[in-house]
Amino acid sequence: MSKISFLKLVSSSTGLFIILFLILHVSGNLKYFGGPDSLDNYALFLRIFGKEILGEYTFLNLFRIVLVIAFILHIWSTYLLTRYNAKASPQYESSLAYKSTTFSSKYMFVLGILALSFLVFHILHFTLGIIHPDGFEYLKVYNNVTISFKNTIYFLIYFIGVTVVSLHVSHGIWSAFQSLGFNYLFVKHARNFAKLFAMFLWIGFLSVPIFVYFFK
Amino acid sequence: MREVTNRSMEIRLKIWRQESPESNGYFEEFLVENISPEASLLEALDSLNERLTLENRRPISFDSDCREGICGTCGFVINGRPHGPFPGVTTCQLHMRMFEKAGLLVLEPFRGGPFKVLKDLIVDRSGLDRIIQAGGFISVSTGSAPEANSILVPKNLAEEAFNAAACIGCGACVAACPNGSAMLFTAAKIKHLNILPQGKAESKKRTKNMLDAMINEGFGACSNHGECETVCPKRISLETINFAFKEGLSS
Repeated sequence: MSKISFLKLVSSSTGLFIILFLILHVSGNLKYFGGPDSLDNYALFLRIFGKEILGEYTFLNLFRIVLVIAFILHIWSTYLLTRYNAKASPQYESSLAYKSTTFSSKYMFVLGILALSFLVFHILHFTLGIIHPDGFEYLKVYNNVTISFKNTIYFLIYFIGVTVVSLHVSHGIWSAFQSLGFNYLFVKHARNFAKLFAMFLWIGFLSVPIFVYFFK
Repeated sequence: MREVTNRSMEIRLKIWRQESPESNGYFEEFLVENISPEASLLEALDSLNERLTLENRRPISFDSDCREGICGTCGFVINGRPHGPFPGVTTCQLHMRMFEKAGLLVLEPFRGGPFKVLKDLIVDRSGLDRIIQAGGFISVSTGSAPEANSILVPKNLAEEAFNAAACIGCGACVAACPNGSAMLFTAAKIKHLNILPQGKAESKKRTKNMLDAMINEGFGACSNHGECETVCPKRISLETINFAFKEGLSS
C-alpha cells in the first residue's frame, strides 16, 4: 500500500469511528430533557456497564483507551497529510478564485486543533471537574450541567466548541467516504449529507446548553 | 453560424514576467489594441509578441502546441482561474469575444507543488511525466495482432476508461488545488488502465507506484476540496479520485 493510501485509511477510519462515538454522546446528552434521574442513571449505567463480567469501570476505561488511540492515530495521520499539502500549496501573486472550497475544507486542520483544545477543556470540566463554575459533584451530572450552562462564559465556550466540531465534521464525513472509496453515487450525495448531519449534530449538542441558558 | 465581423476590440493584459527560474518575477501591463473579437487569446498574445519584437523588447514566453484543446500543452491562470473562467475548455480555446466586457485579464503561470516557473508563463510540469513513468508497463502480447474479440470489454467500462483517458495532463488540477495535489491527474491515469482487462495484470503495483511517485515529486496529498474538478478542461470528475483511493487501499 502506498504511503498516502495508508495515511488516508488511518485518518478516515478513525474519523468515522469518532463520529460514531459523537452520535452515542449526543443521544446521551438528550437524556437531560428526561430530568435528573434519567441523566444521572445513564451516567451511572455507563460506569457499571458490563460489571458482571469485567467489574465496574473496566468496560468504560477500555472504551476510553480505544478512543484515545483513535484520537492519537487521527491526529498523527492528518498531521502528516496536512504537512504534504502545506508544502505543495501554491503561492499565487494574483488571487485564485476558488469555487468548491468551503470554510470547513479550507480550515480543517485549524478546526481540528481548536476541537482538540475544546475536548481537553471538556474533559477537565465535566469528566474530572477540575474546571467548574461552582460545586462540582461526581455523578450528579444533571446538577453539574445546569450550574455550568447558567454561566455565560461556559455557555459561550460550549457554543463555540460545538460549532467548531460540527464544522470539522461537515467536511470530515464526506472526505472520509471519498478517501475510503465508498460507492461514488453515495459519496456524491454524502457531500450534502455531511452538512446536514453536522447540522443535526450541532443542534443536538447545543440543545441542552441553549435550553439551560435561556429557558431554565 | 456566428457572423464574422470586422469589429475590433482592445483589452488590457497584466502578465507575469520572469526571465529565468532563479530571477524574481513581476507583473507587466500591456494594452492590446485592434484585435478581432474572433481571435483566440493565444493569437492576441502572438500579435502582442510581434509588436514587442519589433520594439526590440523581450516577447512573452508561453506554451502552446495543437491550439485545439487536445494536447495539454497550453495553460495559465486567467483572472484567478486555471484555463480561464469558462468550464470545460483549455486556454487555447478561449476567444477574445469571451472577454469583451472583461477590460483587464491577469495572466499568471500555473503554480503549486513542484511546478516551477521556467520563463514568464511557462512552468516545469515534468513531475506529471514522472508519475506516468512510475506507472510502468502493461503486459501485452507483442506477437501478431490478436483476434479482435478475444478480450471483451463491457460498453460501460470502455466508456469510463475513455472518460478517464481524456485527461490531457495539462496540470490545471494541480494549479487549482489549494494543496497543490496532482490527485485528479494521477487518478485519471490509474483509472484508465486499471479498469480495462489489459491493465489489470499490473494494477496493484501501478497504483502504489504512481501514488508514491506523486508524493515523492512534491505534490500535495489531496484533502477533497474538489477544485480540480471545476477547472478540468476534460471534465474529469471526483469519481475518478474516489476510484483511485479505492484501488490504493487494496494495492
